[in-house]
Amino acid sequence: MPPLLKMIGKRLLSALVLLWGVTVVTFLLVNVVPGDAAAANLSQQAYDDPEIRAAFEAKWGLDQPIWVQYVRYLGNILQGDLGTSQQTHRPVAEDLGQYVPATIEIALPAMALAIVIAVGLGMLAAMRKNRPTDTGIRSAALVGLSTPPFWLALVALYVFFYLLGWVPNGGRLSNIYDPPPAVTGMYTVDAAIAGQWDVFGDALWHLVLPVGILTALTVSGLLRFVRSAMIEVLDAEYIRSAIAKGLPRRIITWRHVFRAGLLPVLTVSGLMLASLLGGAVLVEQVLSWPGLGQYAYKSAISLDLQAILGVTLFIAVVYTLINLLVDVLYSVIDPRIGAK
Amino acid sequence: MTTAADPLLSIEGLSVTMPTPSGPVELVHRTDIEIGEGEIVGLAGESGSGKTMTASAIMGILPPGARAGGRIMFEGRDLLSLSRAELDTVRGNRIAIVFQDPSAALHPLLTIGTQLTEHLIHHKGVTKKQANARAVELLDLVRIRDPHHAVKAFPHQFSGGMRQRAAIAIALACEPRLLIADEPTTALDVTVQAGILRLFDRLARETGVSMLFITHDLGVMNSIADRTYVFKDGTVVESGVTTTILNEPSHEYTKALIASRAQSLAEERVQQEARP
Repeated sequence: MPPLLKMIGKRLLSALVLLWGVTVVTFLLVNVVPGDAAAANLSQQAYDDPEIRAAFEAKWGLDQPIWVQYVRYLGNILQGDLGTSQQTHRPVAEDLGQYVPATIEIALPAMALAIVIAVGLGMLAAMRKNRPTDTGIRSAALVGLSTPPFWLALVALYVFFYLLGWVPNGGRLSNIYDPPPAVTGMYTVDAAIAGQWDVFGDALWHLVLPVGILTALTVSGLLRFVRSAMIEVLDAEYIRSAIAKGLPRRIITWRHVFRAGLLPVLTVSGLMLASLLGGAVLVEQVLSWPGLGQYAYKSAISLDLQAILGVTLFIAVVYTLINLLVDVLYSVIDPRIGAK
Repeated sequence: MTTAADPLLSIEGLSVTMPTPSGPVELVHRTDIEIGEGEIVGLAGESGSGKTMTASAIMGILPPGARAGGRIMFEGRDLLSLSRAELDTVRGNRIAIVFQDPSAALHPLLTIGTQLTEHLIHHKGVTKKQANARAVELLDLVRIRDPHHAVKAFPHQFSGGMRQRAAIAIALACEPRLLIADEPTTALDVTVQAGILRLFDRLARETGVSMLFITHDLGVMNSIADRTYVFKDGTVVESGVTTTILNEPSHEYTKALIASRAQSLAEERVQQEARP
């Protein structure tokens, strides 16, 4: 078996163990939280009748030992049943299917843009270390890093919507349009699939502000890592070798420096992407973006336990998969890892 | 073997200064060195005596902030006065360098083949195919087994000695007229050092390349260098034919170096005899 496939297999196996651990923790959390399911779900009259209460507990397996309940819970998860949200009265899985694509639609483009911008600026800063260009780029990143996300979202909304009128006032789509037929749940993609180009344009227009804000925030965080990674590479002896070979700067920069500096950046980018996919609560709140962050926030303040657990499990899966992806990319870029 | 004609490389009054918090420090002080065609010239001295700074000044790879004064004449041009672009037509092409530690000097993420051919393609304008064929030849020249397979390998798949052989092949790719070897055996196992030295010796005879061989080890110097410059505190204290210097050192420092060499040889012998 090729080493890469072997590595992926191993990682998937350990990912499964990790996710199983998450289900144990989430399950215990539900059972540790004080509360009586019968009391919460039955009327006072029904609750007072011991026969009805026993029937209720038998129906939901609450009279079973805790490990039997856990096996049942695990079985439900494996069948995609994450319970029902008290808030929306819909299956949590269905809710996630609606909110997650909205978050992906802003998280992925923001991450892609952020990587391009941060790598470009970070490399430039590293090569101009301690010169005005570097100082300027670092100061801008520091300002970005110190800016509270909700404040940035509010100011951006004020400037670009209220003053300039360039972007819409939040939301995913203008009122005059209906959402395109759901395929992926991402409006731009679904509109393109359905060939509804006016809807596509409108959805894209609504993406500008949230994507722009998330990009700015992510760039600020990523830039320092890119800069320090590239500075370390620039100091490496193999870069001195490349210079001593009389290679043109273009080849040294992209073949020698960029490739080696990418590795540490990859790890941080993975974590940032996972964090973006977990939803940007404050930005989503300000821009009325119905994404995972908002769903998590609303579930949390109303103690919607099943929904909270669903979101937790989803985020655990996201982190696990992205870590796996980073590991795979690592071994593709760095031959020393694949060999191990 | 001093040449009456113009030497290949002539360092005249070289000085290298480094800025430090307590003012600039002169690491190399008014040094004159000449290397003739086909000659192997040694630079001997303790670490920190300015040998590597001299090599870095020739290659234009001094540490940031360091400044070089004087002249380094090569093929009628002063290397210190060239622009970066002009210098890039010389280094890697007409002058090449082999560093001390091949594990650090080779790019970990690029194949040996890429590192062998990229400057060849750039300097000589050959096609990728021609360059690859040359890469196999070069690996064969430095006695790396199975060169067709080795061009596709990454440095970590090589042993230390093989890495240094690959680094030497990279340096020789463009058929330079001068090869600088900066302590090329110091980072290697004692068992492979002799093989690398023999390789340098053979390459000098087979290709006629001139060499500037830097080492702190006078024993190494004795086996390879025609002439030797002894460095101390950033300047040359003694120079001449290697055997003469080793047999009849005139400077106290050279005598001390030879004595310490004899001391360490004696210690090695005692250690060897102590082993079962």
